[in-house]
Amino acid sequence: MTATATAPATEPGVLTGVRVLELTHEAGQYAGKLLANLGADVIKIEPLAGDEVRHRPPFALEQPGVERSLLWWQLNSGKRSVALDVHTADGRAVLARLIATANVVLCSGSPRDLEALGAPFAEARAANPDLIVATITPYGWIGPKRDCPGTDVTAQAAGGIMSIAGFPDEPPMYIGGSLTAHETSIHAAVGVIMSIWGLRNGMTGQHVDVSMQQTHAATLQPDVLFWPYKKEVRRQKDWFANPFTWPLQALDGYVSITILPQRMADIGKWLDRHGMADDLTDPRYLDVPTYQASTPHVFEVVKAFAATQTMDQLADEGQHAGALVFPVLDASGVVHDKQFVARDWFVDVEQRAIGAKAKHPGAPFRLAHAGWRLDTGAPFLGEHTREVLTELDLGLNEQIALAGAGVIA
Amino acid sequence: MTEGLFSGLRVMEFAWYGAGPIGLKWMADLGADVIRVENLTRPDGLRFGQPRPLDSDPTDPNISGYYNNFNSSKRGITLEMGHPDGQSVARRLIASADMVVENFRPGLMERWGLDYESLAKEHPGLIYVSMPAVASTGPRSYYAGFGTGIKMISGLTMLTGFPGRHPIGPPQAFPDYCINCGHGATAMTAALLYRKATGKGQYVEVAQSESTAAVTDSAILQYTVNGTVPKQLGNRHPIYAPQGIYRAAGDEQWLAVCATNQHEWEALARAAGHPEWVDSAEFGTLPARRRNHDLLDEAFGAWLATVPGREAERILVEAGVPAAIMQVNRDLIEDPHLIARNYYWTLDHPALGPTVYDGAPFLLSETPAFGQRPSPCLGEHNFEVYEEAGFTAEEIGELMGSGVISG
Repeated sequence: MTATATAPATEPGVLTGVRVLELTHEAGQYAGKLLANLGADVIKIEPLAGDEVRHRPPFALEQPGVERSLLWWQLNSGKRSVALDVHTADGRAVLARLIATANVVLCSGSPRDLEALGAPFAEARAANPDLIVATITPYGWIGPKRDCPGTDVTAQAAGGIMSIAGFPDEPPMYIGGSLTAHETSIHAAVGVIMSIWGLRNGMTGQHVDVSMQQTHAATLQPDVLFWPYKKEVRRQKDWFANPFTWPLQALDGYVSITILPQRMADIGKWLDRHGMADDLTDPRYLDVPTYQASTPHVFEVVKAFAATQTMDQLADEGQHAGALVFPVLDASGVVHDKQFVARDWFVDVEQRAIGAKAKHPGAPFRLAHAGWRLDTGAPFLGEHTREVLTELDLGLNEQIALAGAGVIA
Repeated sequence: MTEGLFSGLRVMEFAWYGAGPIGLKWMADLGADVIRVENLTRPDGLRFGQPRPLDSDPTDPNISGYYNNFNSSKRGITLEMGHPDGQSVARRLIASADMVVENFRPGLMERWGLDYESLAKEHPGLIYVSMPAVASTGPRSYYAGFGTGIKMISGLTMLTGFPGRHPIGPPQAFPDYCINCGHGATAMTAALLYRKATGKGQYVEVAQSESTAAVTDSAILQYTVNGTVPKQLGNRHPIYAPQGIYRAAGDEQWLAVCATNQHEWEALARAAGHPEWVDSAEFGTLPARRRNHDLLDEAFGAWLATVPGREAERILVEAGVPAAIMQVNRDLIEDPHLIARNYYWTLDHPALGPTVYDGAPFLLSETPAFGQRPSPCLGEHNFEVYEEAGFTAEEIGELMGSGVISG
């Protein structure tokens, strides 16, 4: 199987011709990015002072600036930017005209703030039944808690994922990396692209209702079902509660090792080749109950062996022996990793704020045709205001008046 | 049968564990006809996973909640792929399908003659989706693994945790449950749209290591542009303060709290009965709160320790402060809000009776997801599926007799 090519540069993405209006804070920006990377024309509506993510450190070369946030680059490269104050009557009028040209409106915030902008845009949907509206809100658009405030960390608590995250001897753990923003975005993107499938099959547009809480509830599985199946509450566990997977210190970092007892014969041989198998070649470990009862001993033997090897030696040889071994990589590890490098995964994108190309994460999936691509860097604040307003047939004089009134920039 | 968004779409699923099956569960819950092709030689390991009812038979393949939850609305057949006749039977089944999804170790489908290039010769409209753990090519392509390992190699694990302890990362096979199934569903739908427009099928690869590495915040750019790697922040937010997970009065009551602006900070200070904090030198500004976060955690924690968790949540939320009790699995199942959103479904399973399933993570207003049926028992739909594919009763009987169809 060799069909791993990304889309040929000549073949436009499958969402070419789809116009997405993005009115989001942090949550939802990755959804817009996924759609943009598949060819959609994603127009980001920003406040005149710039989207909040523009102000998010770290900044390129550690110099703050609205064009230099690395998270901004990560989430918004490939989109267009319109700076528009939607909290003025004139701004709202421009927004309504923009929505009238859109296929998808993607928004996030509190239901109250979004309603102030007109969400879920019932009038626009009545005028254009094909319009797809996606909202990402703390508890979703419907339900008794819809108006409760929420953030990344509170959503992780309310959604339950926090109840199994972290060490048993520490407070429950916050999962980092702007998790809620990314995962709600994925659910929103799936809902939107599936809705586009519906449109192409004779259905109408829809409201895609994404809840930050519910997104996390959906990642608790299978632990959530321990309650209805066994009346068992699940909480943080130490590693030995799972006798098969351990993080182990290697010479140059950590690996995670998962041992399937039925592969113990090969694993024993692997350690034996290095003279460090102790008694693990004994066939009695193939018996799962015996294995489980001996877990602390097996752990000590494997741990002592791991400490003499590099991450790569452990992973490459261990996988051949049937142990599921993975190096634990941070970002520098990923960037230099032989696998990601061999697959030519990263994408160099011109970022004009530093006048150079930046190496971005690559495609999350590879389609042989009309797939993911990332050709352009992050838009400057308001860079496309004039261009987009001109596409709306808004005359130059009107634009000058709006700029003078501080509605656009 | 209710019309669904994906009604009329047929998928042959040669996928097991989480990342492949979950995205197809979403499609099946929206009306797609997803047929799981399983065998007894190498059954889906989740069929023997937990949770299972107390005191139940550990060898029963039909009563695992882990398995069932990922496979609602699907049909299930058995077919021994290792049998010489199994592969030609598989090809006959695939002939009527729009899409094949597989997540075996690279090379296995090829060994069975069921790789994309072999199938596409007869079936150019076929969409073929591979979801290997690492990737289908490259020096680590032979690795086998689950979400538990993928979160390690992708950089995701290192965005989380407490400095000075061994890596832990997000729990369990975390990337399976949203990131990789979500990217998979996006890619599958994109390929469907392409076929709708052009009539052409294609090969799609969702390499799970790459899919997960794509959502590691700005960590990769931070390294490639600035040469640094993100610090592990424990329970703190990279910008806002305070943020924490605090113990409230009561048994194991934990409250997550985050003030994202000055307004919420002032509300928090007043709600905690400490209006003097609002403009204090220690806590009055965001930089001050970040500098004195330990002190603030201690002071806020002292108030919270005297207030029962749900009561503290109510006080803070009414004041406009983002705050939420950490819910455990039982709380979620009983959460009136999730119930009002119809998040958990009860489907009547042949071996288990009425059982709980996760519903749709996102709600569609016009074509809501629905449970077509409970998760399939092993081989439950053999007769109907093989008959639909044009096998006569006699042929089916022969295939069963020779062990091609097992069970």
